[in-house]
Amino acid sequence: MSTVLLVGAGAVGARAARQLVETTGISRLLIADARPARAAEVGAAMGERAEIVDWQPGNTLPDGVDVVACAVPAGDDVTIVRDALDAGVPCVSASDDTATIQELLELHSAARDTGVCVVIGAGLAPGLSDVLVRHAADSFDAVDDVNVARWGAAGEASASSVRVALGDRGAELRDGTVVELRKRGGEELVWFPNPVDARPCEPVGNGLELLTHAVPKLARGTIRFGRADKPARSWPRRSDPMNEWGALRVEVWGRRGPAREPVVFGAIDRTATATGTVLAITAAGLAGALPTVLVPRAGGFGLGGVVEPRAFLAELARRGVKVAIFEGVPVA
Amino acid sequence: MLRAMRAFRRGLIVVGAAAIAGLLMRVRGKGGVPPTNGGWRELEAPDFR
Repeated sequence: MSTVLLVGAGAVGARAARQLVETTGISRLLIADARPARAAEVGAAMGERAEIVDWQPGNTLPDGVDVVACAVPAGDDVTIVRDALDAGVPCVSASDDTATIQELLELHSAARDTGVCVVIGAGLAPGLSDVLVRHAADSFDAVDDVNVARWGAAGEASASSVRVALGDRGAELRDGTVVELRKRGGEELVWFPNPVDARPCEPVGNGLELLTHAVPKLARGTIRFGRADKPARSWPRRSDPMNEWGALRVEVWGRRGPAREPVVFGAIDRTATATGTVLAITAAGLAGALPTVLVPRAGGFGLGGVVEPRAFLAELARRGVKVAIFEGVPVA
Repeated sequence: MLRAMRAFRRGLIVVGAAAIAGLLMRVRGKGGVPPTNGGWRELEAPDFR
């Protein structure tokens, strides 16, 4: 039986907490948040397995922690992962912020030397998108092009990451290298599953490096985010403006024998729910409570580098997050 | 008459250049067209295919 330290009790953290306390094999969930009242509220709703701890990033981990799960605003993840590495404890971060992901990737050597697995970007995209890329890649002889698109933000921190990403020039992956685009633009209409349907999405750099963990030597990869409507402009205003539908579209091109074909996967759910579920399954996998969903290795990896796609998707479906495939014909 | 001929010749050059550029883009292309007609089907265990 394992103990998980969940840092962050916001939109994603609360959903992850629910999934973790309902996981057989997780005997104790410690919840820490910069806002103690919020942690207490979430902890009270999770029952007797959950416990609130007064822990701040930069401090020594509480005794008996087997895994650390981060659902915190951009930047805090790096300090928390360093704390976990100091304690020799595996860690998972749900961050979708470019700078945070790059800083976490720089901790790869430290994690490898410590013999600890650090999973980076365990959310909707990056995260579930990498699982689907890996799943699609397993059906091809070789993959040369991956295009990921995401609609939706899971909480305030994620919405901020999306705003920052879309304010930047964007990037794409070419022959394993992230290349910044010359100028902002490249908006494309992306068709997600219902009810999100068609949404304009723009290229971003968030999690591009992680695609190479799912498909080493990938020739070309893009990630696009949709620009969410500002909640303040809608009327009447929602009491929880972030609790919106999120969607994912993963298009993978590869070769089966002589033929070059695409596989298109999609997913749709409340963004925070899907992100929290992916984070919780990954944390439970690292803790050994779900031993088949991951193949952990020492170092820092995107989910695509350590996941066992079918087992992960099965666990995700069991918890209500369903994935779909687009069955269609190319129209020239 | 001379001005009309010059304008006509320029027009031909523009059309020709556009045709060549279009041809190059078509030849280079991305190598495929993603599916556009069809629908979503939920993946099911155990294979999720």
